[in-house]
Amino acid sequence: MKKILLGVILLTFLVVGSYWVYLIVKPQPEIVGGPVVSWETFTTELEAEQAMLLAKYGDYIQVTEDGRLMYKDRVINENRFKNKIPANTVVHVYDGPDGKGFQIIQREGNIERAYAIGAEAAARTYVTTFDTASTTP
Amino acid sequence: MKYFFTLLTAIYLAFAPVQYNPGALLTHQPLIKRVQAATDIVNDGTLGTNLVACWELDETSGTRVDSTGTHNLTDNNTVLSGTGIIGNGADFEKANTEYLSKASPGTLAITGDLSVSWWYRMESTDAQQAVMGNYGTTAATRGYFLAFDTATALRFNYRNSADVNDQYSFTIASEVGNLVHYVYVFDASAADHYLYKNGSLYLTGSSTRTDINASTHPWHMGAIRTGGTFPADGIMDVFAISTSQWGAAEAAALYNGGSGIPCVGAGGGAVTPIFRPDGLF
Repeated sequence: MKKILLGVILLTFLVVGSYWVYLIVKPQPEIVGGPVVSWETFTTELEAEQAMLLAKYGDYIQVTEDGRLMYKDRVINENRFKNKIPANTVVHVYDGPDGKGFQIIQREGNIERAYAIGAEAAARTYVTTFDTASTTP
Repeated sequence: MKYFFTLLTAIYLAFAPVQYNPGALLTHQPLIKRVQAATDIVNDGTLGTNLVACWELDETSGTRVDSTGTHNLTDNNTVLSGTGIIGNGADFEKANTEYLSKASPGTLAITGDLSVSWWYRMESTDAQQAVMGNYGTTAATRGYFLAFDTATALRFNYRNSADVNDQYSFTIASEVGNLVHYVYVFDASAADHYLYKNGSLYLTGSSTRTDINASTHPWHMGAIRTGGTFPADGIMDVFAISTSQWGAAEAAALYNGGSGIPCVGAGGGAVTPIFRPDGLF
């Protein structure tokens, strides 16, 4: 009886231990530094982050395709902001006749979503599907 | 003394003839006037006709002003400046996806004849560097774009009103590092394409479709669509776009012996006194 109990305990440790190992070594999700959230939640969070960066730098911050954070032509480190940006997402900043703003653009397969803030928000907020049948861009 | 006033009157009439003004006012203008021959694009009798927009691109960042007052461009991702042909040019960095745009294309959504003049110093051999475009991703938003597919291929790509694709690609010599003047012309009715380089006709070609879709997509310089697809990598300067068909004379005037002419104001070109016996200028 004692041996059976010891066996159950060892087996439990083995199962739990294996699960912990799995949790440690399993492939990380594509989104860096945060849980997968809805597009609306994601853009709301980024809007709040950009508002803080605007107060700090006097301008919104661009995120390039290769993940660099740019204030004008200077690369900056803002890890809290950077960690919220998935690999398939860029943030463009703009400065036009009607004012400044930024645009979040995310591409998943042939679908592109964009959300923008500022004077050109209406023209820059969209969801579009790329015509994959076309051989031209 | 008897003929003094007669002589004085004769001299006055010779150099300041009475001119009829449709506004019912009689005005006097000197008979000899110094005028500038094609010193700028906007005010030139030929180049200024059907001109849609002209950007000097002298600004160091931010909004780029259209000299015609219609199509001021928004700066995307901080397009800085570099030395152009006249003052500064817009310095696009491909790695940063820098481009200029107009959210509402308006008259830049050209559907027929099109001519565009620009100076460009390509800074890398990176593929797919756009000159301009309002080419979205859906039928209603695909218009046209002009882009260097490579340093040796310049393509005009367009959709017609039925969303059928057409294009013509010029095989050109690489000019990476050189400041070059280009004039591209699309003759819509014949679907013919002309490329002038440094003031002279360089290449011609033909496609099939004879109209361009009236795209509602934002217009871009240094990209073909929203999001900065095909970002340019180089310096562009004095960029003019027209719905006229420019020819050899216009290309030469725009090149101006290598000095270029600005959108407005003083630039290259000599001041030439001209004589108009009718007194109209």
